Amino acid sequence: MDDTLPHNAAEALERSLTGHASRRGFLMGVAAIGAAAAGAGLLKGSAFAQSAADSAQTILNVATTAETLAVTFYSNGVSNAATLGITGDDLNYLVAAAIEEQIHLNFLLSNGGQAATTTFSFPKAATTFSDLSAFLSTQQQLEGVFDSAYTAATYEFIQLGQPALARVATQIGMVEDQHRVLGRIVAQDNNITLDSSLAMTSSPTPENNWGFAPQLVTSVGAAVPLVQSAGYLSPASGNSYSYQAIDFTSSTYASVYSTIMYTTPFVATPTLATPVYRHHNKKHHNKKQ
Amino acid sequence: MDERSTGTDVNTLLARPSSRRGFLKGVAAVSTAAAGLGVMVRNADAQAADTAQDILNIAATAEALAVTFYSGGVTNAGALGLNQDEQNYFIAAAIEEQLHYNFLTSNGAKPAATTFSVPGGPGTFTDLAVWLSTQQQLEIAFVSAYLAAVNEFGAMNQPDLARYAYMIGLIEAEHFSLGRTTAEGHNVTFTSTAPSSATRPADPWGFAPQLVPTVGDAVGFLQQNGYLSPSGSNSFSYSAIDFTSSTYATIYGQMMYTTPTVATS
Repeated sequence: MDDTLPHNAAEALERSLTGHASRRGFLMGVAAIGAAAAGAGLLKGSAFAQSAADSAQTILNVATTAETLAVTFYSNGVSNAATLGITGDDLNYLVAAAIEEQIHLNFLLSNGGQAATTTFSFPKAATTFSDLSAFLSTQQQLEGVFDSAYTAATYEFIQLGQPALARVATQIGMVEDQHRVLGRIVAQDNNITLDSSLAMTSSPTPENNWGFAPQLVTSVGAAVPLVQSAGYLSPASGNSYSYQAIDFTSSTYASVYSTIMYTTPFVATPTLATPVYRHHNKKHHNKKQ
Repeated sequence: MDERSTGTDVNTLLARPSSRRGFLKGVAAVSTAAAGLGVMVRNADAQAADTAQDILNIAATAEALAVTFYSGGVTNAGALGLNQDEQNYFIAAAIEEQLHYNFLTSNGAKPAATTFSVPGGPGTFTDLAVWLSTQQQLEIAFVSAYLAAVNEFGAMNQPDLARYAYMIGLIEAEHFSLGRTTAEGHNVTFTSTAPSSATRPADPWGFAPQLVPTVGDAVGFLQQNGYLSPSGSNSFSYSAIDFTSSTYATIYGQMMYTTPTVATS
């Protein structure tokens, strides 16, 4: 195993987000936190546990802003799919991702999350939506940040005594990571070399290239200045994209939306007698927001 | 934490209350908004149904099963008709499951079993539809169990352990999508073993579902679905992957984050 990879990759993410390494103090260090390496068993308690860096409301607001950005990114990708050369199953991935980000956003908004902004920019500006490498490299950067932020959210929610919220953060984070891998598949399908200044690696192979999903931000709140430094929060003429909610019933989205399962956070309980598994998938298959 | 229970065999784990209770008996949409509570209300029902040691042991068992399943698929990639990109997905998946297993066992986890069966018997590894359907069932069980682990570790006020569960669970969710992508590419129709008959889209979840109430319930799930009853030709023993072997070395060399990694400053 190459233990230098995580550190290099973290630096790459930082560079991709800030244009430089470490000056701002974000991601200045990463640690492999294998408790065995530290000589402590997993069950020896939480040596790293500290008071949460963010309030629950801050976490919800940051997540809401991130999901608003994600909807804006993916819906523009869908609108420009022909220009980008994304078709067939690859387009289905993208349409589904846009729907899922909207589902996350709707859930967060309905539970008190407030977006800090609804108009965004992208590091590659308009080229993002006309050049497939730029689009996929941006997607890799965004999903990498989302994965990390939801990791931090899981941890912080538990520090705040909110395990159910931690689980919801994980339920969202898992979907974000599916998007990350599917972006790499689209790159592989189209023989795209990723821009390592945005994506953490230039090669999309293997598509599933993480042993453990990393947390490359120290806290949920720390993700905000990183995203800002990377160029997502500075809309200007020619590089300004405003959020518009996806209409799940539109011709673009309806057929894929009908195949999306678990449109609300879903947990099996031992107290209900409903037969489940394949049956419950169908039960929730067509659930609308 | 309760270190009294080491649960190192399947029967011990099945004797636990959460496993006896059965699994997948019921499901609930936990949108707290729908319940009129607001998402920031503390979950008053949060309880850990399993001990931390139980959870670690069950996770190690699941990872041993996963290594056995994926390494069997890699060995039989030709018979399954997997192209090179698809083989790479599953070589990487096998490596990742081994990394998870190594991490868990090096930190005190003990698998309850290391010899397994599969619902479709030995033909699983020569029939792509059966193999992928089995993969889908296994991965949704793993995703569900790690979600339960996040909640239960949270109830124990163990944020580090919950974060490990997150870091592993996301990788299992990746595998779920890669199985569906492979099915798409071959126009495979899933068998009834898979959680859904549809293969499209590869990312079909709004929220990753937790289909077992507790981590312990996953054991009963695996047993009832035929993964813990090895006999005759339907018996597959765990054998650790050699990352330096010609089959795995190239992909292993491209693998990132082979241990849990967290930014510290």
